[in-house]
Amino acid sequence: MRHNHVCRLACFAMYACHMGENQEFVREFLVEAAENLDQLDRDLVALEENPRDPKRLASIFRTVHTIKGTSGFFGFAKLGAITHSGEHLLGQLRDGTIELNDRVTGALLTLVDAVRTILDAIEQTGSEGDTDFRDLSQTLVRVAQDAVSNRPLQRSTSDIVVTRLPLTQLPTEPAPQAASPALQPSPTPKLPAVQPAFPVSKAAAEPSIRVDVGLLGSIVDLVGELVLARNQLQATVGADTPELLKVVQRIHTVTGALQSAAMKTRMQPIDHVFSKFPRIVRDLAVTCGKEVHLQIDGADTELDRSLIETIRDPLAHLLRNAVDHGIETPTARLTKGKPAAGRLSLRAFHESGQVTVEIKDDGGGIPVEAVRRKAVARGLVTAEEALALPDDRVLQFIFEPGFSTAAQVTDVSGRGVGMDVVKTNIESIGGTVDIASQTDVGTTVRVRIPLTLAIIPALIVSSQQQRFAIPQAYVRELIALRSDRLTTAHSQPEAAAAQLNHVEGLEGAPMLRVRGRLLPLVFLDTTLEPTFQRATLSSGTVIILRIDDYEFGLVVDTVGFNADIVVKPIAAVLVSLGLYAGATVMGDGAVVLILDPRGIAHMAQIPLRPHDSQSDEALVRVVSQPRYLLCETISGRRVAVPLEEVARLETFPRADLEQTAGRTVIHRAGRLMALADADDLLGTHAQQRITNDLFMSKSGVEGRVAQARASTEAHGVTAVILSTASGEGDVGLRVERILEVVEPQTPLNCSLRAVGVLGTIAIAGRATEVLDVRTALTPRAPDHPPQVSL
Amino acid sequence: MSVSHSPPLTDPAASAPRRSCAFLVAGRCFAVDAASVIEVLRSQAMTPVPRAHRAIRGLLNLRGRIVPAIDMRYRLGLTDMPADKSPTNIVLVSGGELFSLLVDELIDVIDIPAVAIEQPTAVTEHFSRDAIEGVFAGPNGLVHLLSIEAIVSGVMVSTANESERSETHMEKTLR
Repeated sequence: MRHNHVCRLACFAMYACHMGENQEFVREFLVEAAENLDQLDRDLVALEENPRDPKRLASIFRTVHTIKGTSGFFGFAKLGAITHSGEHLLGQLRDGTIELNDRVTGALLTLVDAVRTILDAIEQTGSEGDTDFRDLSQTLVRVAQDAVSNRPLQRSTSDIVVTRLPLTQLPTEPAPQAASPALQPSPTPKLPAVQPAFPVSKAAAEPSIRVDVGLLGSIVDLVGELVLARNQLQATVGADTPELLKVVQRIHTVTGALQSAAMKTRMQPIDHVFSKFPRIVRDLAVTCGKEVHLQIDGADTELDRSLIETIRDPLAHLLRNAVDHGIETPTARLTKGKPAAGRLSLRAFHESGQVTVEIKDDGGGIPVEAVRRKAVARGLVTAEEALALPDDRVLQFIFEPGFSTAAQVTDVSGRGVGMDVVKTNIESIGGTVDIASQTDVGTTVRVRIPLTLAIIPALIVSSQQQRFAIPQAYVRELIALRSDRLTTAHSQPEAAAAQLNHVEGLEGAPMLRVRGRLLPLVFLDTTLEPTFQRATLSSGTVIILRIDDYEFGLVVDTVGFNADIVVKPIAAVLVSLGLYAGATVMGDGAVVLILDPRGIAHMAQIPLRPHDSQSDEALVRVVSQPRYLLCETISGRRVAVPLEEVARLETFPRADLEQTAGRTVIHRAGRLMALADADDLLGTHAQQRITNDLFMSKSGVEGRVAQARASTEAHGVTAVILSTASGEGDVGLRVERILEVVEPQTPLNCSLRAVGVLGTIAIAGRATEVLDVRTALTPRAPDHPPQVSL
Repeated sequence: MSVSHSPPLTDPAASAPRRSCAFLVAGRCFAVDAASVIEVLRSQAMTPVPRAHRAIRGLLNLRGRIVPAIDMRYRLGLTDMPADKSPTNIVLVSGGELFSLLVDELIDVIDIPAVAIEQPTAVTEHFSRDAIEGVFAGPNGLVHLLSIEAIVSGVMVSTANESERSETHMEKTLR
């Protein structure tokens, strides 16, 4: 890469005389310089850690030299002057005449900022702007001189210890001499010899070219078209033409490979975001008077370039929080017995089809009690509720708008804007944020983002003969809206059936009662076509959609299938409607609109914040009184699952179950979901109780298990899908059948607490065990796999 | 990063003839800048967009790109197309986005001398004139020069009350 600069300089020089082409080269210079400045920031911060790293020094020197040289060709005098002073200082650093200290680093970083300012001015106005940088030039010169003249004085004992570390690689260095004022800059003669030995940068070794982003986009589009044409071709070719079939097979393979290669061109390493962070953290640490070691891992993790820009600000905010609020001052840390310098780790990695970015500090942690008090003070929960909430739930309050516990507002953060914006931004691209914190141990924030926005899983539905796609990220549950259930709801003997599926009106708005909760219903057909008159309120399928903390039911005529769809942008005049997130092209070539559930809810004017729906008694009751989903396990035991832990209920065909690494998983829409057997979670203790049960012999249990197996073959597997707060992916709980939703009048009795059992509640006069859902969500060691009997 | 390429103040193209793509809509002749036109297609299958401006008849799939089709008869406040006729798509680019104009039929690409373009106030015909930049008296009658940007910005809708608004707009244009 660096060698290229020399050649480019020559090119600039050659072509600069052609007036018309000058602008073209200025632009190229600007693009490259911007990249080089980012590299400079990184190099300078790295150099602070390791002041004599000759590789870094050489790289910094060359970058500044290149900018200086090029600015000369274009006649940018100011840029030339300050980079010249900077180069002089760097030259002395490189030659070992002076040592790196805070002043030198500060001056060099100011230089980088000044160069950036000038480049911005050039980009916008074509000239260098009016800012006077003579002071900076003088400072750079003075720093270079002072550093030389003060050098013996600055060499305090601690300095020697620090600077000697890298010298251990140079065994010929006579260490005692380091303290001598007459010291010759010993590394100097070695440097030129070492320099060429550095590996040429990666970019030079793996040639790459700049390609217009729009061109890449159209390649991806065309490949998508090719895939469609291939699908149509495959459908047309019959088995009676084996030769043609062979060619079609080959086209199939090549098209698939081409598609994945084209998608890869959209990927960029997350380093594009990460590279800015060392400088941000360094400046912040200086401002806050803290010492911070930033450790970056997985910068080469790739994700879609459209996502990279979106995550930059949220991640920067999280880092600022960690430095400003998380990591304590050196004094406070030493008092706590921690090293004076805080550790901040930024890590990116791939995990189950997503990219996870983890920001971890070893600071003071989030003061949970302060958050709890603040939540009560702001009226988010009552004092009693707050006390009952577990700490990890309390931490979620920091994502509320305007929520800050910072004792004092600083320059950097603590104004109470931030975490909610972080969450909104990340969720806007289909990601999640979760946070874990421990007092005096530190805080870990995990941001999970999809690999690409280009392809998302979606549910294809239809309304009024038109197909629409709904992003799966919003879909919680599907419920059939059947008229027989509705009309006879109150006369049904099975209370559960009536409760599961009941439309009622609340102040004129249709509501659906789902397991005791009332959800507003939105009819897609009348929302999209206000003049349309529905014959009945009770036909179609309800899709329970979740936006933030709020759920509503969207009624569609029919639900089609799940598909991974390619998201295509739509014209701005259609985006402004707020109803559509884009469009996609189906296998048959038809265009299908992608619904934006947020816009649909807005259009239907349903309230989107649960706190606003105070008229809804049912919702209020859920908060105050725990409700349980009563299930029967395969061995015939009754177990209650706290309803707030239940995400949805599903029935799977037997064929979707797989055994993987000793665990049972459900293969569903291309994803794997762990499935645990309720009986297993209740543990051996529970098994013994069953066999001792007066009403059922051991053989009776075995008989039921055998029966269950047979019914699985016929009807599929029923599972309660548990919601995981951490977003680790859903976990299914296998049961024989769902009985009903109960709201016991007596509190939970914890005296019978056991493995997998939280306690017991009285339901219809019968003590029923309440499953401890956490055991289901905690991954087991592989030597004790929870097996599901199939 | 962009460096502006400002055109010289005296544009030699200003006096050059304007190459335009002329087409028929409800018996009248209109034209758009030929440089914006990407291609011309026969009638295509379209996906309607509920709640969009009524002039947007649907979305079509142009080799993987999603293109909204604007019904020029509706947009210009002219009579609906007879059911037995199918429109022609003139696909063009405006502001980096593709649009298709649904017209009766394409006439030809014509060069219009800049000096012969007159102000649209000369026209007294009964249709919506907000997108008309100028008129040109051609050998076979008047040619109305359309601004693509104005056509597109006229189909922007951001509220739910669009249906009522477009009706009053319609009434206004027919009055």
